[in-house]
Amino acid sequence: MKLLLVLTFIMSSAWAKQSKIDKLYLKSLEHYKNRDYFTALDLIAHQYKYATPDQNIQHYIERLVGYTGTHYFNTFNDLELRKLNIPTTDLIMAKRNLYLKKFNYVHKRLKRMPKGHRLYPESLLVKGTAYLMDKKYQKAISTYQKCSEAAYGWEKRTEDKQQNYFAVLKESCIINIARIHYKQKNYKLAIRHYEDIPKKSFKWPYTLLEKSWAYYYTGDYNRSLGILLTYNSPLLESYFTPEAEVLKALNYFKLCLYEDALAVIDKYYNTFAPRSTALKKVIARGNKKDLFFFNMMFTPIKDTEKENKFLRNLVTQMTKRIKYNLDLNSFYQMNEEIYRANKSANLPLLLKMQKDLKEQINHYVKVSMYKFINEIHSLSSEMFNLKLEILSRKRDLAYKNKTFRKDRSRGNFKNIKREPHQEFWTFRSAFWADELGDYSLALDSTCKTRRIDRNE
Amino acid sequence: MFKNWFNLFNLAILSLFATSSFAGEEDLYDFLWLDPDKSVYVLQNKIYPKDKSFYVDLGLLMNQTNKFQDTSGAQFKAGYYFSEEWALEFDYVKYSNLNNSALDSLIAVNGVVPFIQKPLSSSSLFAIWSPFYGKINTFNQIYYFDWSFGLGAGSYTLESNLDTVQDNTQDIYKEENVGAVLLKTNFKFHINRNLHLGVELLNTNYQFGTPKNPNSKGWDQNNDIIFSIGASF
Repeated sequence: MKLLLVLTFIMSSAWAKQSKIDKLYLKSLEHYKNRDYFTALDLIAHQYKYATPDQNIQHYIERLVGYTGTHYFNTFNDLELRKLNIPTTDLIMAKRNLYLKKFNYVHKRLKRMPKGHRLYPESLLVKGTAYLMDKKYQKAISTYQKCSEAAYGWEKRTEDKQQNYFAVLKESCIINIARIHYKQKNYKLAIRHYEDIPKKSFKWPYTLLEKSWAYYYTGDYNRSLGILLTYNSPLLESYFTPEAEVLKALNYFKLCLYEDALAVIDKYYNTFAPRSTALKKVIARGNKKDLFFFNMMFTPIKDTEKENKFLRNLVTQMTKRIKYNLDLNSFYQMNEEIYRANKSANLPLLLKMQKDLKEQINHYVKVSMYKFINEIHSLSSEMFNLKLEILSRKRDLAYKNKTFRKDRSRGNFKNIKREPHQEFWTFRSAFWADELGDYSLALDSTCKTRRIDRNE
Repeated sequence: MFKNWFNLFNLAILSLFATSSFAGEEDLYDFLWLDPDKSVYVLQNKIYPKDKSFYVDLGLLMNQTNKFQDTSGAQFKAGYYFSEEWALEFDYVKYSNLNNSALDSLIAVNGVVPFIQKPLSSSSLFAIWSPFYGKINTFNQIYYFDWSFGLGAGSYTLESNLDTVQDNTQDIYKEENVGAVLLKTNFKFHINRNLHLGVELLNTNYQFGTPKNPNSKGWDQNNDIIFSIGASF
């Protein structure tokens, strides 16, 4: 009799629990139909922190995340994420493990990722990065290769923002392959991979610098300098990177064009370093204001430019970053839900999440700006060392009563190293946008010395 | 070199239609950012490299030599680029001939049939040299092209009324197969990685008799313009 009573109690409580979940699911579905995606997600995901949902609900949560992004799960711990048991949470956990350098767990979490899932290419990117950080380079290359192919497949059958997302994923994987080849000193292979990034891509301006380094290490200093010239173009003005100036000076140094190298170094000290100090002051002033960096991202460019030229560059660069764009997307989604003002929407949750997101974006922009300033100042010491080296070599030449055999000419096409798959022509004041990034100088190396004649 | 011709052409077109679009882009077009102190070269990867690639083309031809025939035809060619600039190519051309109005008028007015050669077909093997690769910017689109030259040898089949034209009796055509030395030049415009359009000038040189001296053969030639569509893979 007692046993029967216990069984009846267990069954009735299980039935009551199930019926509560069913009700919540129906309520969440109602929110979904009203396009209150965050409210719908919160209602359902909250229930499954400690119990794994059935397949139907798993698919439903996946569909909701397609609208909200993964930001909502930031407050879930690993145990709670595991309970949900869906590809989205597997990927979030894998990323957390990657950050903690627990590579085995990264692979474990991504093992079940279905090949047809929209997150499959991104999971391959994470997996490849785990291999890369674990120094398993061959595995990393083959995983990135698969990633670029899978992302390309999705890119072809999607449109607009989704298409951009898969294009960026594909390009990230290709760039990572190039970086591995670069790391292994296979510079030519690295260059061929960098060249696979289309010029219209957000990522392309950044690959120019990496490609220039690769050319520098192959000894093709003229090509390296030509590519770096691209950053001077008004089209890429916003992508100014101090490292490009250091590399320019190094290239001139290798060609023994000491005067050119010194000109670059002087410009760095006279223009960029003071501008960076001024930027630091502007940032420090605004740092005291709440959400200063977040608000700056929405200030008209003309106003930011007035403050400091670098500020405009940094804001433009930031707007092209993937993380910033994903966060911004979630922010706008929340905004939409708030301003739609459906009575049933969970407004306190939305406002709290939006505040968190604003702070997150604010922090991200702040860190990026300080990184830029620190980079300028740390590279200053590199430039200083280079200047010392140049001055010492010039002094040695003077002591040995020697000078360079040739004066620097404007360049001769004989110095251009052309591969069979390349074409070259002289640039004669005809700008073709498709040629951006394909420039080369043709300067003679002046490293051979001769004794100075007494009559000179 | 070719790029600059087209630049001039484009500049003229653009100055007519699009001058206002450049306003506000002065910085980009003053080129000071390209370091005027140094010579700048453009070193660009070919969008359509040819090395180790096959191609096949199907074309329609218009004959430019035959005075008394409307000669047209079709061309099939297939080739392989074993380096970026050199290829081996097989060509087959099939001709079709119709008497034209000039011949009809001549027969009607003078009552004589002139000496006529009707090309029937040719098969040849070419060495192709493709030294020029360029681009054209038009309608806000860039089109890439290859310009190649070919030297080939093969057999040329034609029929003529050489044996009967002197007697001016019966007009009988006799088919003959002769060896030929062929020259060609070809413009290939790339539509995408696998498709291209071609314009070709084909010059076929062969030895043949003349009504004045039927037993002694002299050099004769046949010229065709061919428009083709092809695939590369």
